[in-house]
Amino acid sequence: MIEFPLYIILIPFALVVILFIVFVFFNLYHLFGFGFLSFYSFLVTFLFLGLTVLILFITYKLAAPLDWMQIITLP
Amino acid sequence: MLIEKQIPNRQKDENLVLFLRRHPIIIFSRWAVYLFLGLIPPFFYYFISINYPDVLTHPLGYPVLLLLACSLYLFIALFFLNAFIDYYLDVWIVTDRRIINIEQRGLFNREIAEHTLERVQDVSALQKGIFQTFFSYGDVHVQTAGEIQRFIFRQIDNPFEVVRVLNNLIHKHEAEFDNRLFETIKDNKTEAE
Repeated sequence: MIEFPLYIILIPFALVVILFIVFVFFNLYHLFGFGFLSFYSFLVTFLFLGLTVLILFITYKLAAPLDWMQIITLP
Repeated sequence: MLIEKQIPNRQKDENLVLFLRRHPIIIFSRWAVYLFLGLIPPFFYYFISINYPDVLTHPLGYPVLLLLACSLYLFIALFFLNAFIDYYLDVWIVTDRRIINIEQRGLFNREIAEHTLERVQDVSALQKGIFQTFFSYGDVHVQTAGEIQRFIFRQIDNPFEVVRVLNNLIHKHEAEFDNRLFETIKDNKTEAE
């Protein structure tokens, strides 16, 4: 029987978010380092950032009511 | 960073003739695939709720599915940005003197090459398949005498028009060269007399 608090599953999720941030950094570095300054590059960057904020906000809204301290027991 | 439609390392009196990127259908088709991927979590949730409702009521089931869905959506957003960068950083510039080929290969490989119009030996366009014919895009192959012997303008809009413009430029350039040569010979002859 395995027992662990629910918040443990947030650790792999945090690793995914860190990986995501690293790739976002590389992508934006390429876009603004080598790309062309134009309306479209800014538009897509803001759309992407808006979409990211929206995803994280919805996840937070859905995840906040959960009791992350509860102990999960797996047989 | 460069300004849109500005020639890199511009020479004196050099004019921009063509500024080319892939046809927009290329990026929209990639975005459509990612949009389709985004539909997977709602369908999966619906499937689970109908067939395995116990999974959603389990204290571990719902949080795990929620975090998995969030991770998937974050990476779909990242693919969305990556597809745009892939599209946006591949540029072919034609001026009245040079052809400049700028290509981003993956995240860490970038290639910039250029050739003067005198080095261009042959220009041809290739449009194949139903999509390319229907949306009027294709490849333009520019054969040169340089080290990188072939430039390929990939999946650009209206490739046959681009070939026409390039051929006109090359002929104009050749005519100017002949005129200059003729003038030089004429001047030398006059001086000798």
